[in-house]
Amino acid sequence: MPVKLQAQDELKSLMAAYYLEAKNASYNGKKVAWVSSGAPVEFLYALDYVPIYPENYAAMCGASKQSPALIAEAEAAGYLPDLCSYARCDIGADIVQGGPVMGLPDPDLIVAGTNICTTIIKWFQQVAYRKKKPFVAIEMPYLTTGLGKSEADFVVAQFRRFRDVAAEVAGVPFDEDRFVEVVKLSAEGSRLWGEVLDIARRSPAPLSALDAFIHIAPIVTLRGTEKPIEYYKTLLSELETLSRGGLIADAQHTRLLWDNLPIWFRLRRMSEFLAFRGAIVVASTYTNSWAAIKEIPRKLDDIYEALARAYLEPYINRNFPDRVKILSQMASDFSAHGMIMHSNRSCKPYSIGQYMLKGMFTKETGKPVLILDADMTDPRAYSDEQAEGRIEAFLEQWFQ
Amino acid sequence: MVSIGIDSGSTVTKIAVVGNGAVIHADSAPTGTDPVRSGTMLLDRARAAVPADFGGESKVCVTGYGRKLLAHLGTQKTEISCHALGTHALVTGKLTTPDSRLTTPDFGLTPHASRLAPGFTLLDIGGQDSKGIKVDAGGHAVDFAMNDKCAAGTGKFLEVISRTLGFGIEGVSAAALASGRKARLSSMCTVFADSEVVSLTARGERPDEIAWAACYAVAERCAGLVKRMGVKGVLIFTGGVSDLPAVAEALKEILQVDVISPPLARFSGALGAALFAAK
Repeated sequence: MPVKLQAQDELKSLMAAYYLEAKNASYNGKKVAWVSSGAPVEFLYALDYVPIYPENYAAMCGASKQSPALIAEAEAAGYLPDLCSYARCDIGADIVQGGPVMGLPDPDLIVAGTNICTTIIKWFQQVAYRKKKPFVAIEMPYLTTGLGKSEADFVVAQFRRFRDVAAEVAGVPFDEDRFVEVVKLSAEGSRLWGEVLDIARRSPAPLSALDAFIHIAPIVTLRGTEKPIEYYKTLLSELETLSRGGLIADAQHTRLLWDNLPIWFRLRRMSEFLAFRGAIVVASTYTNSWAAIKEIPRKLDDIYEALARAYLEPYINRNFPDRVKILSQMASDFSAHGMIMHSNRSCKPYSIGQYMLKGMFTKETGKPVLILDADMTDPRAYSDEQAEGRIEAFLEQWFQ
Repeated sequence: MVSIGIDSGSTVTKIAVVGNGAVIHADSAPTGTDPVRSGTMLLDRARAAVPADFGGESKVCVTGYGRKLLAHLGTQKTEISCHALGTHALVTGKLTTPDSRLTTPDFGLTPHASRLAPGFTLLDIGGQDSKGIKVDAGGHAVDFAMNDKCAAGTGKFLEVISRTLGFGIEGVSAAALASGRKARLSSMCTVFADSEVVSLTARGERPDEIAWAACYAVAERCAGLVKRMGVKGVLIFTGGVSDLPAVAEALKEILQVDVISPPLARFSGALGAALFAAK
């Protein structure tokens, strides 16, 4: 069975402190921003905002199995079951002030980028309408033909506009030096997160990518602060001890990639189900989406451009040939034998085209792919028996 | 020595006994609410039916939704592997069926033998799920696609519609074949389709036309699974729903391929399990 890491307790404390600070932000004279996972949070940390990630909160609701009741609240309020379950979960949590921290603190500013999906624009627009707060949408164009200067310039211009709006709402001037510091912290946090993920290149892998989904929270929510840096150093040290001490008991005959978000409410069960069958997920396209700037340029304008490029390059903002290159490279780097593609009922931009990608990936690498129908936070769109039966058949078919 | 395969399906449990390369017994019973009871009952019946000259020993392999509950009876295999192997044995003639009650000597495969030899695509529609499986020349599943958590495109869909129409499940197929084959259901969802049937009935649409629409809707939904696997010239159709010729007719019309169900098509999972038991 997967090892329970001691760092997990530290993670709990870290996230509890983060949400506590957010809940008390207005008492402490701090502004709160609701932010999409792909928005440039560095500007907000530079202005001393507390950024809150509704997507992360929905994931927490899912992992703690509180999502069905919250989703039901949103549906009772008229939101359709076809809407993303993160959106329904958060809307429900806001209506009843529910979930692990009893609802999120109200925002002073709302910001979303189109680099992860476009549903989030309408979802956050609706939040802005209900909360009567300013909303900034940052268009980060889908990289149909790759990332050129024009795409980067287009995004940089919007970053400047966003920076000015955020400073105006905060009521303080924007400090570029502080911003550069935050970008450096963000880059260092992302680098260490990359190291955590890369440790699964080893065989046996000391960390499954399904377990890494849990450890993703600091790089999403606290990116740009010291906290992820400290946390990932602790985690890395524990993983090193496990790896070097030969303390990984599970047989790992089959190494798999995972595409799309996790099934939050079945994370542990899925991890154990695979471990019991000698299989492990060693890397995922989702956890690898938070690698930011590799090197910090010297000139401020260049930092803006580097940041824009980093935010334009998440996996799901890339065209299909690029995605196949990423997947093939990942399969090679992590010595993967095959891949599970989660066809996520909620996340259309991640799931559309998976059958085509499956074919392209298998043609490129010769490795088999299973497409698994599920949902990231709505258990009503999921059946244990069906899903596990498919995984079992996939493993039986190719690896046993 | 005989080998026994039990396919504990969502609606029906099937059992097949194989000995000396031949199917010597095939039987089924409703799974009901107690898969252990139906599986054990069929196993007792099967053992009693095996002629004494096979020796009294048997190996058992279980598959299907209820396989974990029946794990104490023998080994386990997933239904994907079992359907692939069982159907392959049926269509390539690797299993003979000396008992004339179990099969007919020629079920129309002869003209397609060369097309089936390198492998084929099969569609299995059961009570709760439907699956398209690509099978290679050795009877192994090389790819598969299944329906999601939804009853559309399964036997359950036809069961619900047949109840609304007042036909038995076989009656739906017979009525559909006698219809003008024009009506269509627009809803993908079983619940919505059921209320659409009520609306069509209220508008005066003939029940046999609605029956055709229901069979066509199932075929249309499952054709998508088959297309993902790719199909060349001939589709092998198995599972409980393959007993309904109207669905096969609709599949032919949609996919523009020959659709063939071997004898014992509803037992292919159990036969595959029996063959795994023998390995």
